[in-house]
Amino acid sequence: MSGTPVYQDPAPPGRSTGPPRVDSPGGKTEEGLRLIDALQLIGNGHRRPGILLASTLLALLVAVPARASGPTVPTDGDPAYGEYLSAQCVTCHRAPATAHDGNIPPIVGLPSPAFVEALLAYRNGQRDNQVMRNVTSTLGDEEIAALAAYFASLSSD
Amino acid sequence: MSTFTRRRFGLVAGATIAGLAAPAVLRAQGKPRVVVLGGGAGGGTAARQIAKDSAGAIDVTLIEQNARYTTCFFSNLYLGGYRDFESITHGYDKLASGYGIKVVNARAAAVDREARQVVMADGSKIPYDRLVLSPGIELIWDSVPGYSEAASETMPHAWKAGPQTQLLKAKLDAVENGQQIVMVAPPNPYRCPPGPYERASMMAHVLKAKGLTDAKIVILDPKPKFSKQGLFSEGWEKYYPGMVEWYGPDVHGGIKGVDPATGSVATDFDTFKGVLVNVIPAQRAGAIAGDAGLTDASGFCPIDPASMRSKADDAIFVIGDACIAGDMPKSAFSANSQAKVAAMIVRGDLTGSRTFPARYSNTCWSLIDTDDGVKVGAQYAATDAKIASTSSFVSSTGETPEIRHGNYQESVGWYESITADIFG
Repeated sequence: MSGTPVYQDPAPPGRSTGPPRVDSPGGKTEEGLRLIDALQLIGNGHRRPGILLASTLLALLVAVPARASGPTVPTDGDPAYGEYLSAQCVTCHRAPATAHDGNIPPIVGLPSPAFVEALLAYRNGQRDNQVMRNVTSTLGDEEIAALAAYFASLSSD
Repeated sequence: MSTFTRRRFGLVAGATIAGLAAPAVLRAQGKPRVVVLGGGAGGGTAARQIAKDSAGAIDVTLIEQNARYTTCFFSNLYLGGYRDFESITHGYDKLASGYGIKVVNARAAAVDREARQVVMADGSKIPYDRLVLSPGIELIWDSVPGYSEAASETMPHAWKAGPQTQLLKAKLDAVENGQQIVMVAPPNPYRCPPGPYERASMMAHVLKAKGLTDAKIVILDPKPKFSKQGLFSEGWEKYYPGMVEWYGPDVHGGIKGVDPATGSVATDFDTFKGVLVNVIPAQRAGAIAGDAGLTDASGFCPIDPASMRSKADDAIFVIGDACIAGDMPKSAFSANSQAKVAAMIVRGDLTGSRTFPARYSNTCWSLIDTDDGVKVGAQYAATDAKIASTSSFVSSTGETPEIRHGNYQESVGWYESITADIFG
């Protein structure tokens, strides 16, 4: 499953030569990363696969909760803190989302596991966008959990 | 108003806080009043953020003398022919209709700190419990001898977007092959550190696209180095060989002055003539800040790094280009980020809402040629002394076209988002 590149990340083959993976929750696979991309795209209406496919993807994600949320990120983030932190996100990730904001993907309404996974992938150096790597370098687990709780509380429609 | 809804929590919490918590400013009648002065990246964001997050508990007034606002950010892309003027010009209708903000399109004359009110040019007064001041910059005309507001009609600065930007573009479009453009770059600190060099790139792009490769752009800089220098130098060599020349003070020896009558710039080294002379003078905080006694000897406004509160007045917050923001550059992104911290603290002051440790952020994208964008950015936190960088990055020379194209696309998305964040 190859989703539209999010943030123009270089193609997967280069990942093994990238920076060392620190704090990697369970060593995510390329498949896992692409799953996240796919979920983002589904959630934002960029493509509309059948309900069956969406359900399958969600089931896959739910089936590996430890990998999806990471062992250190709490699941009961503080949404009020997340709302404050989210103000920085929407400077670039428009809320409410529109169809095309350059190559910046919408994040409103993203399910918490997908959101956490994506931020961890930037913080761990598995994803390459410089802005997101820099942003996540200053986000602790509490901040990521808070953001996830807040964005999941918003619907994208 | 925004179309998304809150599933799990929402307006009830805000209403409870407003109703029960004893606000720091308890007024005998009516709601606490916030006045935001200046409708640019800082002021627009602050007004919208306070109105949105307080959900009607705070009365917000935005004072901006112009009914339409042209953004300085992306004005270089207008110059380069990538954007039309309308696409970088915005109104305040959505802030009024969607967020209940009272928009006053009139000129403010002064801040009466004693009485806590803004005095308008027509003599009327607008009282506040908290004032968010976002006046942007004032150009110090005589920082370049011979330059003046009148001279800017022949030697545009275009460092406040609007008619000046259109004048600069008209003059650029009239340049013929073999002719010379001279830019006088500003000393630090100034609005948009990479801006002059992106502008030179866009000028060169326009000339090259018309086949005018014997035209030349000379940049006379009072600084020995500049933002993203390696990246711009690489780009000029690659796309515009022989067209852009940058002279620092060790070459020109000092900028002595300009003569609008002859279109010349005198330096210790030589006198440079241009059919177009773009003078970007030194800058300080918007005049109203200095008049109110909120600036220091630098000409800018000291603030508390954890709150954006003026060090001179607890009821005033200064954000954007006018404040002294430590390691943060003067940019729209910075102003937007500072506005969000100020908005949070203002709400805490007035309605007792929760506050959190200040976080700031900035990214500046610059376009060198079509689809070749570069960027620099950082995260910041408050220390006792200043807003300090905690992590940063900058594009590298020699990056792939895919990365550079991605940067440009990202900047386009950012523009759409941040202008929605500012203007609704």
